[in-house]
Amino acid sequence: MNTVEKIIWKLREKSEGGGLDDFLIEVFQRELNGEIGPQWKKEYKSILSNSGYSKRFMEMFFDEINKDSKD
Amino acid sequence: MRFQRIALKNYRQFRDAGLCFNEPYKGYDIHIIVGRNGTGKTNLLNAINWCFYGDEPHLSSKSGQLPRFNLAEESTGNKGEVCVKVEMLENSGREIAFSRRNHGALDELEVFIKTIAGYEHYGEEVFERNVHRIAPKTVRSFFFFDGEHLDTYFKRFQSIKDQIESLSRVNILDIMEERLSQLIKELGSSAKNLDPEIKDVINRKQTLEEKVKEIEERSGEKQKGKEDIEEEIEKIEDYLRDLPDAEKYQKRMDQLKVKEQKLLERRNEILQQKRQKLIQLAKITYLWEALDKLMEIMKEKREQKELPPQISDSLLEEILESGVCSICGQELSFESKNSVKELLQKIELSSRQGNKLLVLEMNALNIKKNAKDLYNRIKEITNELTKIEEELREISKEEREIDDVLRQHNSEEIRLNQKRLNEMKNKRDDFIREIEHYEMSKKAILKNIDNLKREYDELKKLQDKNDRGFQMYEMFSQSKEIVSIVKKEIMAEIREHIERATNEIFFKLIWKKESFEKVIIRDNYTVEVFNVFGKNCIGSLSAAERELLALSFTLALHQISGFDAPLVIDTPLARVSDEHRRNFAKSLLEVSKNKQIALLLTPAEFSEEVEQELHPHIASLHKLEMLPDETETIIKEESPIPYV
Repeated sequence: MNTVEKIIWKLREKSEGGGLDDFLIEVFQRELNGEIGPQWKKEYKSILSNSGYSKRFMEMFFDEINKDSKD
Repeated sequence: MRFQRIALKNYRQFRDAGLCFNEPYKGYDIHIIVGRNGTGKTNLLNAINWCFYGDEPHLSSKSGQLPRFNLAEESTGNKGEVCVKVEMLENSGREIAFSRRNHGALDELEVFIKTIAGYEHYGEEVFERNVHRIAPKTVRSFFFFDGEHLDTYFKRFQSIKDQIESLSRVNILDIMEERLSQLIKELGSSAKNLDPEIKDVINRKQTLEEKVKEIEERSGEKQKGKEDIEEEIEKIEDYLRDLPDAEKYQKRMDQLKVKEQKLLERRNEILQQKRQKLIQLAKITYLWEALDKLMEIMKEKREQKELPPQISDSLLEEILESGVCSICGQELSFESKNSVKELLQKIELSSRQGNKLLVLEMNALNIKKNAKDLYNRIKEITNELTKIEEELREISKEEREIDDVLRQHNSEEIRLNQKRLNEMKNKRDDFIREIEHYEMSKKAILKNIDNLKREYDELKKLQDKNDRGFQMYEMFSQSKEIVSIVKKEIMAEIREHIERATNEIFFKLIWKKESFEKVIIRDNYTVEVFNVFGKNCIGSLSAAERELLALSFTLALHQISGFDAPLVIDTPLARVSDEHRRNFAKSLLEVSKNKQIALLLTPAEFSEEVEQELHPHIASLHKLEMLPDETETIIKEESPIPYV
């Protein structure tokens, strides 16, 4: 199990009683694996519209993090 | 993951050159590139960086002043492109090639992936995603670095800690935690506890509803009172239905009495008037004969012309004074004036007597006229008296009739019942007015209740929205805490893992295994090496031992990072003393059993003893040779024939 897998496993384990939901864990996983690209950005927008996450969340978690990651 | 080939076109010293990384030889995947200083060893490191990341972090000040485009090619007048292409083989067996071209302003990125059908070609996004997968820019210094990096490795503890976080991607957790904090802060400030407002609306609504209930109770009481009264009214009306309206009759009687009184007063008044008029008329009647006689005398005198003509003495006096006849306008002659004077004297005499007679006649006429007026007035009064008498008779008659009706019944009881009926009706009207007032109040309160209901609905909607925000707030708060805990745990595990792996690698590679006991890595990533006497001896390590420790540490980091890029080290032996170079070379050979290593060595580093140690295992050997005009370096591949 590499570090990313271990991080995700721990996040999931500790979120059993509340905390990160599946969607947020997927965001973390994709971010940790550097898998958030323009195509996924398009997809997550439609996912987000049904997830109850706010637009602000999208701005904060995707646009900003991607920006930081690229920097 | 290993390099297969690196092709360079017009990149700095390399006009058209390439490096072929052969298959591992007897399990050793070590590749040597030997070149004197200035032939472009470091620029090979730069070429890999430029291809992958678009920059050249190891550029010397001299190279930095030169264009990236090859000088030899430029001198021919060609304005071609700069291109570096790195072909790699993944552990899965998939071949992937990264290409960066530059024609001028912008770089063109391409990635080629070999499939059964041939090479598939992708653009920038796939390029960057795959580079990120192999070795992200933030961790490249652990894979492609200058040998000096190893020598000064442990002088930069904080930098190491940061780089470990980056390498292990724990830094992503930091970024996520920071974003979560920002979201929590924003949600916390935007969320508003609406419970007090909602409670207030509910309380106000309840108060109004209680008031409505109270009004309804009071209105109900009044309604009952009204119904009781109406019942009583009905009873009284039943009693009075076939009975004369005593009160009405009494009222009529009272009216008649008042009218009768007024008529009597009026009759007395005009009787008095009539009496006075009759007295006046009687007086005239006594004089009537004398008056007739006077009129007769006057008639006779007038017929006998004994009465002087009616000439105005003032007219005659005016004619005399002006001397002009005011009738014909002629001037009066002397004789005419005398005639007028005589006439005036005669008139003065006869007029005094005549006038007295005329006054008498006038008075007599007036008295006669007055008598006629008195007669007419007396006649009018008499008529009015007749009418009054008639009315009085009518009143008297009606009074008798009323009296007759009332005498037949118990008028007092009727009257009392009627009085009671009127009182009841008044009371009922009061009740109706009060009920109407209550209804209006109720209507106004119900309207307020409706408004409060709407306010409540709106607040509930807002609260629901807030609740969602609050749920997110709770989730993000918990998530942030979890991320923080996970990060601490992961960092602790990483440290332990690195410590364990560093120990394993170090003790596998080190040539003086019996001298050292263990390597300890503290929480802040300071590294301590303990000798067999239990003393920290890191300060007394030789450069080779120090670099080996750093290499062990780096390889340990590779393990925990999950990134599997090859290791490219520029001049790794430059700072290693001669006595340890052979040992260090042996260690690198050991490492190459599990990881592809490309070493960029100077001829001095690739000394005889190092060559003796490495040559039997080298997978490929390249030598860099610069042309005499120093505009181009040629890469020569030498056969890695085992050293004899």
